Amino acid sequence: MGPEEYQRRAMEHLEAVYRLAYHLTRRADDAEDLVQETYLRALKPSAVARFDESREDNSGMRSWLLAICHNAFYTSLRKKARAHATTDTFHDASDTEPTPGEGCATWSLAGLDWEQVDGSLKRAIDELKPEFRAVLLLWGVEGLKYREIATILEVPIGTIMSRLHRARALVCEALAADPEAQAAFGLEPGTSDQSPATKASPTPE
Amino acid sequence: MTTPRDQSDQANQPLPAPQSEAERVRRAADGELDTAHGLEGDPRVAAERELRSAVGRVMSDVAVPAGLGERVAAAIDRETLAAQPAPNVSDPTVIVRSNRSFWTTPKVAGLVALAAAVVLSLSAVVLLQRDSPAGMPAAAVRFASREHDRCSNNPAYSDRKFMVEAVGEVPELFAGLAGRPVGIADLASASASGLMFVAAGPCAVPAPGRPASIHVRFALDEDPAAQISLFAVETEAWPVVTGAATYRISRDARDAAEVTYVWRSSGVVYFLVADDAEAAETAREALSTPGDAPETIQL
Repeated sequence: MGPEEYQRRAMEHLEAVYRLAYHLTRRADDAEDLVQETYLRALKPSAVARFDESREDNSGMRSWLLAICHNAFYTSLRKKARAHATTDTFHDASDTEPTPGEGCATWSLAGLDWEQVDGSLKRAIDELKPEFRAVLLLWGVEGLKYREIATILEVPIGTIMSRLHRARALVCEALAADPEAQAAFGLEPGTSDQSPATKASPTPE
Repeated sequence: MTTPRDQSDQANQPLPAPQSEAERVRRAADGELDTAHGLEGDPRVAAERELRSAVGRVMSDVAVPAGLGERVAAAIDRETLAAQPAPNVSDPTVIVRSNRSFWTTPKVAGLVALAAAVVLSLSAVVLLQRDSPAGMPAAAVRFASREHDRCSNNPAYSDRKFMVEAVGEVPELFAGLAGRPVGIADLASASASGLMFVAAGPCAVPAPGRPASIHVRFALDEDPAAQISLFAVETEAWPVVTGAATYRISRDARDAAEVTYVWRSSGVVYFLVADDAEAAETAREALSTPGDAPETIQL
């Protein structure tokens, strides 16, 4: 693939790269800078040379760009905080815990109208740490498999499964505590302290 | 950074078996189980899928800002240009010829080569920063040429970029980007003088201070295949481009037939790019550019 073709195909994924950049930074101007940095890194001759021929299909290009975007974001964070913190600051220390086995708060919400709680859901996601938002984005929006997410975020698959479960649980807990979501889901008044998780029928392990 | 081969290794890790019923449900919902016996139609699986769908809907509600693609493309162009040797730097072999017996000794030749490389690199930077020669916006001219080609050859890219399809809406687009009304050329009159307005959109012409800029596409009335690009940049930079003349830029372009004109009017610097001289001249006349005859500038 020549440089111009490589660039053309890379630009086809601008939207996906911007989405990830936006959800990582949560600021439109920072996201634009991150997108630019991503493409400049991706289109350096050394990076083009590293782009494996076997990954030339479109999804390979998208994953390649998303990985660079994610990498550039954390590189930037590390630079900013080098004097004050380690990378553990940005990752939850328990990321590598085994995937929790408990049931999910989601289960009690089956069949409900999720569109009624878009605002609450957005707020809940915004409250998450960047690593959780990233995994939710790649899973929910980009529709990627665990393996692909692990490749992009450069962590083991077990960590992805753990992060994904915890992100889902945190979102559902936040929704359960949100009065708007309670009203939309028809939860009984006065039961706001009772999360859907506690209402879900526990499933035998 | 992880290499693609490292990433391949990561992707080849085996997926561990579910450690619990809850994990099995989640993986069934995500299509990550080889067999999901007993979970078909399970409401828990349905609930997980509904959550995934809701998360996808909420998180995908992010629009790419107008002009971001052009900004990125411009940045790439700048990087590419910076990596190229300057086209009009004196040939370093001239130095070698001045004293062949001395300069061609291996040690000195190595030093000369190193010095030449430094000169070439510095010259490339100077070219970009000072827009030489004579203060002409060389980087912007090169960008305009590349962007014209890119839009001509990549319909998908053009579709994303050109959001305005009515010539009457162009001033509003420009004013929106500048944050105030900008006196732009009378494009409606130009459209009645041999040009056919195609579309317009925000752009990111490289200029000091990242001022507002737009890209307007025209075609010739008589030959719709003849594409013409007009870039308008609201800037006080490049004072050498006065409001009294139009400059025809001559340079070693990939396409020797391509013509670029530059001029300034009412605080806006314009770059006109056409694939051939006839189309360029028609557009220049339709746009009533300043001066009697264009002055040719060599970049």
